Amino acid sequence: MIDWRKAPRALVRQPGVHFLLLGGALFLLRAGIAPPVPRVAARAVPPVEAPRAKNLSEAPPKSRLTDDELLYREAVKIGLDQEKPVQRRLVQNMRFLQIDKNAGDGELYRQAREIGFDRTDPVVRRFLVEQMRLLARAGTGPEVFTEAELGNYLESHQEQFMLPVFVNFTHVYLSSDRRGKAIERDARRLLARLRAGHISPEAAPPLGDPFLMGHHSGMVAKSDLEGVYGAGFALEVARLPVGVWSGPVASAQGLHLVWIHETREREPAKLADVRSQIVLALAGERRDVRYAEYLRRLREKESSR
Amino acid sequence: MRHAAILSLSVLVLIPMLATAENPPPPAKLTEQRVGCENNQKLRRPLFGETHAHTSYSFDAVSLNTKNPPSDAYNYAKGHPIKITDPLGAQTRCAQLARPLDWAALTDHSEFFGELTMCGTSTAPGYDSETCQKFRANPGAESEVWGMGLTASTPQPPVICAPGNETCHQQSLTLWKSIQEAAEMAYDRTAACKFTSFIGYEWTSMPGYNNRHRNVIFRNEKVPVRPLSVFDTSNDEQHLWARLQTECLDAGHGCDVLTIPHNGNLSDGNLYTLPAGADKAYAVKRSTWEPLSEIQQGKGNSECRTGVGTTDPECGFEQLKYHNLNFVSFTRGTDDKPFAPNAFLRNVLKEGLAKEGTLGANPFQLGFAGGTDTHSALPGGTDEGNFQGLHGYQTADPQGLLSQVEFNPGALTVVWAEQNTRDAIFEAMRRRETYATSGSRPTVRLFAGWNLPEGLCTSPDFAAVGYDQGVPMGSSLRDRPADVTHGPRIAVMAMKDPGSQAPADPQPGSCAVYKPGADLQRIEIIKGWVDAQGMHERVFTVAQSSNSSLAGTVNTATCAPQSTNSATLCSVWTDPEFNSAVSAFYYARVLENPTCRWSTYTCKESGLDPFNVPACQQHLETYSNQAPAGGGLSPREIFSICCTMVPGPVVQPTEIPRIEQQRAWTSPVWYTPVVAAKKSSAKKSSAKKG
Repeated sequence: MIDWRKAPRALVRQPGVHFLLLGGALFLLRAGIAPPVPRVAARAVPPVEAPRAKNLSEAPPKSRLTDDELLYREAVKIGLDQEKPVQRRLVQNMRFLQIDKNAGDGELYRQAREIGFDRTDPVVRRFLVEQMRLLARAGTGPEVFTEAELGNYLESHQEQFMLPVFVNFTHVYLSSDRRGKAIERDARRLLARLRAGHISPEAAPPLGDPFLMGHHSGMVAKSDLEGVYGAGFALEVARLPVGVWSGPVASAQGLHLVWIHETREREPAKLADVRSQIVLALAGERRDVRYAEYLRRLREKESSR
Repeated sequence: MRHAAILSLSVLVLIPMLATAENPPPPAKLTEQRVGCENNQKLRRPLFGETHAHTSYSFDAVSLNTKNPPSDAYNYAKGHPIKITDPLGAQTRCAQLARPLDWAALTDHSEFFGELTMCGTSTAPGYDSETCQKFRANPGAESEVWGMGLTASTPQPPVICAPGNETCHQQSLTLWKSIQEAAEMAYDRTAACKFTSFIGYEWTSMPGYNNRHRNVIFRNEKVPVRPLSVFDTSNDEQHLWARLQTECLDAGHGCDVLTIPHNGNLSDGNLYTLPAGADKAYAVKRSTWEPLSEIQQGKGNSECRTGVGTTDPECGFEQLKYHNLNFVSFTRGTDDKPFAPNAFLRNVLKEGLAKEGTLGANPFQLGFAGGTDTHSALPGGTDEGNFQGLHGYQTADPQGLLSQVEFNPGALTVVWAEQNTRDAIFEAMRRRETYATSGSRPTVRLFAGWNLPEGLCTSPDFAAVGYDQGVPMGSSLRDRPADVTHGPRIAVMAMKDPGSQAPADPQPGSCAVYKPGADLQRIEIIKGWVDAQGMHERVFTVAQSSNSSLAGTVNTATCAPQSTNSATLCSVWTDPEFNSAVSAFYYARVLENPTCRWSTYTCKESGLDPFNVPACQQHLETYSNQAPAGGGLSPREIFSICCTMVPGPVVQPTEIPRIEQQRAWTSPVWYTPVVAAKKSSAKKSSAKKG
């Protein structure tokens, strides 16, 4: 049998306790090993009753308690400390300490609570705090958003969802390999011929050299051009006027005489095309708001005591 | 001027013939709900991406102090700057691509998804287990233990996973969901189609350290409930395919998937082997599941190795000295056996032809892919001038030179697809219309046929004619028409990597390094064939820059490429040794001008110039010769490698070159004699009747 009056002193001398304390300290110091993605528990967090007379938009009064302490206390209050992971941890501690080798799990759990491990064990405290965070962030079901909410998000994040400038052009290519030093002269002469002869974009490409990617771009964004022609070409083509022969524009492969058929300015994406991304982003935001709101109410409640 | 006139004349002559070249390839089948792309090229365009990258969701990346999750890796692939770990484990290093990728597949090891969740989430069961405590205390050492568990002939999950791996299965869902969400967030579903993400994972079979890994890549967002690991399937890839068949292809929700093997060079010949009793059905199944294989990645080249079934001098490129993933035992000198021929793809392709003769189908009809295998969440970080290291805190800067020097920044996969969407890219991979590059970004196009015009290089419609009168890279040649007496014609055209250029308005926190691309030096066609005398290969140079000298291609002071050779190369080549009774394959290898290897940049950063050996040695004397207190090499010993780099192509894998020729490899095209093809279909029909 254990003499409970001597137990605390005896416990302090136990190497196992030292191990636990050190382990706990290490635990608290640990950096995130893998990304902690919340596990949504199958229970909902009970609402914190808001003080009636206070406006929620006001900043809550400062409390001396940390967020973790507030969350820990709330977890105990709603009985999370009775849950199986806590029981397992406390029983594990007791078995490690070998205080009562013959006791069953139930008895060891009771003894651990009597000693106060449920309040002092850093792993249990951390578990309860994180469990509260998850509960506070979790909704009661799948996140559902109205069209208006989705639309508002898109509008307020328009820059993030802008479509780029598109351009559609035909080019006559002059190969630096084939023409060597004569390339600039050839380009100037051919450009003059194209302009003077009003040669159409359909008829012009055979007057130059063959190009691996063909001569008609279709609708392309600047970033589509960079991979093959180079960034300088992509930048310059986007600035050229529509419906005339321009150039020569330099690329990594030579020079190009360019006819712009159409340019399309930047425009916001359609909601239908970015819906899944907005839903994910909004769900994350909603979880953050829920948690902040929950914490705020906890603080207010604490301050009003 | 005369040249231009001849050119114009030849174009005019070609025009009537090209008028019939209106048979564009069919577009990809749409399996997802999304808007089409503004940029939709019927004749397809090259999309640069990669198929092999790890983030902090891989157990071994965690052990290397990598803390960046998939969302960071996608941001990096899209050209945004991210912070990554430094040698001390702090997130201080800036990494950014000078040019974004068009697409990327992230492939974290599916083994230990559950364990990582459990050990990193205090609310998870098993968090307080001894396994997790050890992992948190020393992730490097513990993950090595986990990795060693994978080398068993029957891998077992850690004890925390409980019988049947059920706990870890359950916990793996957390990371799997997060992987899917990150991919969805990164995927551009607008008409701009700027970036495509693929959901995937790496299946990590490695019995006896012999690499049999596969990257599993899903076509769209419809994926199985949870990923499969070797703990679910054993080490046998057939079990993986069987489970993927049930849980993906037959699940009835639009799931589609393929697997890409990698690192034949580290498989000791175990990656491309046939099981006992392999038959035609197996061969067909294998080539369907695995249309591609990695030919190059950070941990070395798998095309070929000089002395292993080839005398090709270009097969010394980025070779590792190891036979398999047991790097430690080799450095202790316990591994000196010869390399297995089928550790290298060129030999495997020959083996495929031989097996086609006996089985009736080619099990190794493999196109080429490239990846980085980064464990630092840096997909596509292949620039030799800005290599950050493959392995977390083991950086490629002077501090980590020796830990990375035998590795390289990795490779890219380029697909020819009509638009930048999952469906279009996935189908390109499936039909093998891909080429791999050793990291640079040349554009390479190849068609093969019997009647391709010999003047195709001067045609304004190279691709239209290629598709109409031939087949693209990755295909099997059509039957030879009766009136054709010559061998197959291969038309291959390449354009130089345009390089990168600093934008006028760089993003805040930008740290990209910009540089021009290198000129092209030559195009080779590699032919392999099998006849009664055995397996053969021959390398034909089919196009070469008029300036054949490689002198002066690099500014040795700055490592800047010098423009001395070609911006484009093209050739229509007819096989002069064609034997219509013999199966063959052909692929193109495009070699750029030599440029500085990444290690040369790093040495220069340290004030040690590999191009100036006397000065290098003199400066090396200023480095401490004192070994660190904990053991290891002194700074002088570490950096002595800068002064001993070899000037030219490497033959011995222990040598590090100052410069090397970056390159591209097109997927092959295959020729099968009509008689053999008929025989195999006759066998099939008699088997059906029987």
